[in-house]
Amino acid sequence: MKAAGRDRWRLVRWLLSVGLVVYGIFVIFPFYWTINTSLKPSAEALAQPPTLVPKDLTGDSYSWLTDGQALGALADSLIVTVTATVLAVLIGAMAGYAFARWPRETGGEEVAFFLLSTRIFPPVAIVLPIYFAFDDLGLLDTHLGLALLYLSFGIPLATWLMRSFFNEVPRSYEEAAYLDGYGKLETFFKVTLPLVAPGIVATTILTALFCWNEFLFALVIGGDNVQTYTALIPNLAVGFQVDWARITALSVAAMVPPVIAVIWLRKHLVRGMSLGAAK
Amino acid sequence: MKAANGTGRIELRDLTKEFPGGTVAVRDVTLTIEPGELMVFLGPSGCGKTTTLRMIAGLEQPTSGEILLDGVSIQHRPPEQRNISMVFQDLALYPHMTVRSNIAFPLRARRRETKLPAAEIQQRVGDRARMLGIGELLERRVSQLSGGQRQRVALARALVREPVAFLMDEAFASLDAVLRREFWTEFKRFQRRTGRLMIHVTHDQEEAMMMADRIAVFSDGGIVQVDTPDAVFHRPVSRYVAGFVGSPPMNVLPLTAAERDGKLVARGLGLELPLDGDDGLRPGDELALGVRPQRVRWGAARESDDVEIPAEVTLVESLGAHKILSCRPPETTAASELRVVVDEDEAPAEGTSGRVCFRLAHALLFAGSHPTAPARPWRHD
Repeated sequence: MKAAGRDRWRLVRWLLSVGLVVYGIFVIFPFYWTINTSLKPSAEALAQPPTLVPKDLTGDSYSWLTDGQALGALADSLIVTVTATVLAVLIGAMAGYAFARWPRETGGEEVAFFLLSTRIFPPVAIVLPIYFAFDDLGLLDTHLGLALLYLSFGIPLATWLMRSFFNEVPRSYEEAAYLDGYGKLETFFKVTLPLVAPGIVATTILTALFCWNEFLFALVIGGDNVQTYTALIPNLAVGFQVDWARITALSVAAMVPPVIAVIWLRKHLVRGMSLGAAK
Repeated sequence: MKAANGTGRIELRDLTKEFPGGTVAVRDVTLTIEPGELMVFLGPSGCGKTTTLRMIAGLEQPTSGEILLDGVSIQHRPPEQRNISMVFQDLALYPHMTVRSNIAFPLRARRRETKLPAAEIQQRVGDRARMLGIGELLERRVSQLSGGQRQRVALARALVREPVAFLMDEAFASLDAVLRREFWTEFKRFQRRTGRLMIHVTHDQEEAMMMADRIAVFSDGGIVQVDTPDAVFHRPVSRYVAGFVGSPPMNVLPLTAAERDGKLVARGLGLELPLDGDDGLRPGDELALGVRPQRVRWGAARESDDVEIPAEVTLVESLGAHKILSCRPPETTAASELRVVVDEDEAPAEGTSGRVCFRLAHALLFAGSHPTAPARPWRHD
């Protein structure tokens, strides 16, 4: 009886392992295929059947990256993402603090929830009106225009996230600081902010990823002047040929900043789970 | 940094707090707390005791009324300018700091004004930590401490700056029963040594009795009695206070006023007891007799006992050296059971029939059956 139970447990574990391996392949394969394709010459990238390993290993697509167009697109993405993220997290943190600490004055749960409505709305539905509005304002094809647009999506998200992080800091922490002789601003910087630092890291990463990966508005609002890498990729697929080698090389390059950021901030992200457990 | 601005006397005058939405949490509270006094605010949750404390701390603004510290009105000062320290129910220790930084935190406030040298801060933190027996824990993080150690850190932080007054809001609530008792004793000694005015808020009547110089009993946003623990225990002003203080709770026997030979008597449970004095009672009015379980005896009446009620023991509960008997007079329900505290070797078995006796000199008269019914000793002396 006991032995049978152990056998069954072994079988379950074996099945679970197989499941995990399948899932792992499912997740990793696109990465492998992207890198694989990016290292092929353009012709081999289109060959049927596709080759699992590049026959002619080449860095041609990567050297193309360093020519003006691709580098410019990555730079545009970076400018817009950094601007929108920094401002969104800054404003979102302040607004989130207000929503968390003065719920009555800020309109309560309903208003806070209303913030999320911008995320529920399908972007396709508003892209045309925004195009015309931006046209009138002269914001089309400018860094400012795209950054403003991302800010309008980023602030509600950052506010909502920061609000929940601030909610987790007990009010008594701040009240104790007041009684100990600290003013409101000092208390905020000495007590509250350090405690939500992991939350700020998480919010920054989520906001930045959204901006970095945004496609629809980048394509419509951008142009020749400001073209993010997401808007450049479809340009590589016009005409008869889809230049998969270059597309994948650009994709690999676009993966680098988020991956570095997440590896660099991994410690803080993990700490977010046990809020404030370490300095 | 000694409490230079006076001796620390707090006066509350007609303090009222109405929250938005119309809830009146505190109504017309007037109270003077003397320097060096350990005052306990006692009452059930929602009675206004914590709100009163928070108004003294400056965390809530009173709707009306005045708070005086050494004769100076302070209700418009923000909390950081009151030099009052407080231990919160959750202790509010900062998880992102070490024990040392937590204790030093109040001393680092407004350093540009106080000009407190770093060495002095370390010196004081060390002194307080040693005083509270946590000298070895200074480099630890709060998350690495036990409940009792956290309690000590919170006390050290509150006391490091030598405030004028010291407030505690249910600060022992998270400790287990044994540790809590140790803290009561230790803290009372500690408070005597520092000689600071202290206000402690609790719903635990035993804690209040053990710690307080005086107890302020709260009910429904107001203070119903302010007195020493002994006075609150022996001479409660109302049925509410009598029922709240003491363990096991006071026995309350429902009786009815009646007239006999032109004199007022109390009848019920087969008794007829003389009523002296004028409490505005008329024949037919409901009243009640209160007597502490410790004052009731099980067994034959002695000469000094004036009340004797036949009863059956329905339950025996053990307190170790003592036992609590639940005694039910014949033809009554569980509601009119009397509780009697007896020595363990004198305890009868459950189901035993016998008598409960007590002296009217130990009894209280409640002139009415409602909780606010005023109380007085049964016999005027």
